[in-house]
Amino acid sequence: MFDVVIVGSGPSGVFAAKELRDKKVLILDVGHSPDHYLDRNSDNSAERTDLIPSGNLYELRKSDQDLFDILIGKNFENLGNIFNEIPVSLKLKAPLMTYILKDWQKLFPITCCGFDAVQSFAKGGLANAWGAGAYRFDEFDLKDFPIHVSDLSRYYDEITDEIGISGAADDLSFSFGSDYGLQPPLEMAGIAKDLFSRYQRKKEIFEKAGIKIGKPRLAVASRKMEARSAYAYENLEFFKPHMSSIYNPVFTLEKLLRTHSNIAYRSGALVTRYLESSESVRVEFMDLDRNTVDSAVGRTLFLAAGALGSSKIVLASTKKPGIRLPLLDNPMACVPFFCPRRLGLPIDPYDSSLGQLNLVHETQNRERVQATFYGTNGPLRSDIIFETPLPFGPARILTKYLASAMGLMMIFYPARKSKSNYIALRPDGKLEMNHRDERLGDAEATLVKIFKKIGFYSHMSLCQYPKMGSSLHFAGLLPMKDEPKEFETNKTGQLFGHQHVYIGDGAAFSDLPAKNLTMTLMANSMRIASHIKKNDL
Amino acid sequence: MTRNKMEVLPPDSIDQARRIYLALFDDEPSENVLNRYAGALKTYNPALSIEDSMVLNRIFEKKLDLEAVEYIWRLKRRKNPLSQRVQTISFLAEIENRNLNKYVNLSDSRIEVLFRMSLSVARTGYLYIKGSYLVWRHSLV
Repeated sequence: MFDVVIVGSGPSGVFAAKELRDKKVLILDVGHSPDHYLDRNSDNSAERTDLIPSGNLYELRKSDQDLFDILIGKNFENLGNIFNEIPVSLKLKAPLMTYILKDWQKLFPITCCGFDAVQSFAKGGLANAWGAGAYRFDEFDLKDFPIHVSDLSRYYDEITDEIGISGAADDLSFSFGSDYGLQPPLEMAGIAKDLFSRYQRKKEIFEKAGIKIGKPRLAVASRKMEARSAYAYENLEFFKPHMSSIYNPVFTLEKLLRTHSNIAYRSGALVTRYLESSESVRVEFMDLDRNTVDSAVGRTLFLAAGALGSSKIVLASTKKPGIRLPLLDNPMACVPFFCPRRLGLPIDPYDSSLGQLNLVHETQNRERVQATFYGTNGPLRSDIIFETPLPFGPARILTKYLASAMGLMMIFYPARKSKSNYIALRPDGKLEMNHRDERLGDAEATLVKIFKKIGFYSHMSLCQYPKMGSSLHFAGLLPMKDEPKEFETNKTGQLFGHQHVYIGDGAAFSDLPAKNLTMTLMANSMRIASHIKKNDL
Repeated sequence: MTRNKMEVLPPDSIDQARRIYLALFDDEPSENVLNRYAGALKTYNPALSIEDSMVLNRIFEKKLDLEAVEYIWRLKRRKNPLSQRVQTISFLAEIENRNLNKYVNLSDSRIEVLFRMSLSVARTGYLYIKGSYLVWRHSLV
């Protein structure tokens, strides 16, 4: 019998395993990985010699190398959105990134209404595709949680040491919190530098509108960290998996497995349900390699299969018909900004496709909206050309010359709680998801108005509103409460009515602020794992 | 509809690829682009309705301006078979180093950019009118 069985190898599962590293732990995971693209002779993803050509995207494109396998794919993966009914995000459709969503619809059948859900069965989970935003929740973000910043602080510091966070103490420190352990911020792309210097010169206009701008905090090593190299501005974020400078939970998982023989990792295991007794929990899973049902027994079960995955396992195990669990997701908006002064400037091949700047906007109704500003040099232009209402030739010219003068602001709103937003497990085993459409607009309108004053132009008609679910931030299904009821957890993550079952991922979040939740997923799972270690084992 | 099935099939995909590439770039495509285009269509095997097949066939048969017709068809229906084919060629062309300069601005072009953009605006108008006429004249979409 294991002390703890952890389900999932995403940020929550891996950091729970790190906290429980002295115990007998089993991690159950489906665990798809991009191994066929990487050197299998090393068991350390962060120091493998990639079989993928290394170097800068634009330098590679200038060379004679045929980049078809990387940019389009042997099976034409990158053309999927042209032909498939349901498009996926640019990062997830790149040929070497397809392992992230591999088989998810087969392994996790869903039916959706107003919601574009995806589930990852990759080793490392959806963090394989994250934008590396690493933010501490503050008291404002935690106002609906039964815990406080002081409950998470030491874990945030420990995580900072482990994952390496680049950033700066600046105008956004009021929201981003302690600058403990920050590595120097990454170099900004030209357009972001321009925007930031204009913001600094005209800060009073922004402050009046409740807007502050600063450097993003990214789980990206700007300095070399053990096996991980420093960020090299390759501009390959859209195409290259497991870039060692960008943190991936797989790095920590592999380190734990190398150094702790008491931690076991079993891939090809799709957990379907658990059966709890007074002393232990039996976890049932499909062995996907053998196509058989298998099980493992632990004194404690730590569910970290992603908010949707963990909730589905709970619903399948409790077998109560008609239960609806509340679903939280960040509504998003995407606003392009155009800076005429930069029109016709050459692109900087050494830009980065990562977030360039962050913005926090406190709205009049005391809501905090967070946004990230990106350049447009990462994806192929053909992904953008056909999004314009222009013929091919003019669209190609426009995207060519506008690239250095355009940036995208991705705006995240806090989740809205509503009875119409829920998941339920249907008798046929499909997870039913419903979410009402959230089309907001207040923050976009304010930004369009304010940015005009510093020479960055846009129009509300250019705003895009991705379908709900696109943020990939799912939470709140089995929320932490001071006084939990059925299908809720207490503040230690323990599921109501259970002795040995804990929820360690976003499902246990009481709320979902606009801030990226990944670092708090890690910190909260460490906090819960620490409680398990002290009290249950 | 009792048409001969051969009549509604689009022309051979290699020839199709060459025609699209020429229309977009006024240049001969590489063997790679031609073969990969055929491979992409084979991989995704997009279902074509009889009507779409006939329209596509007519566009290629009559050697119509592909850029103009694609534009109008895309304005009417975002995912249409011609746009899918044009987009496929665009992706395959873009990754070739000889086309890098067609997609990416690598030199300071601040002087010529206004001229090029104005020309693009005028060309958009021209293609809109031409495409609308062709669509009407040949009862395409």
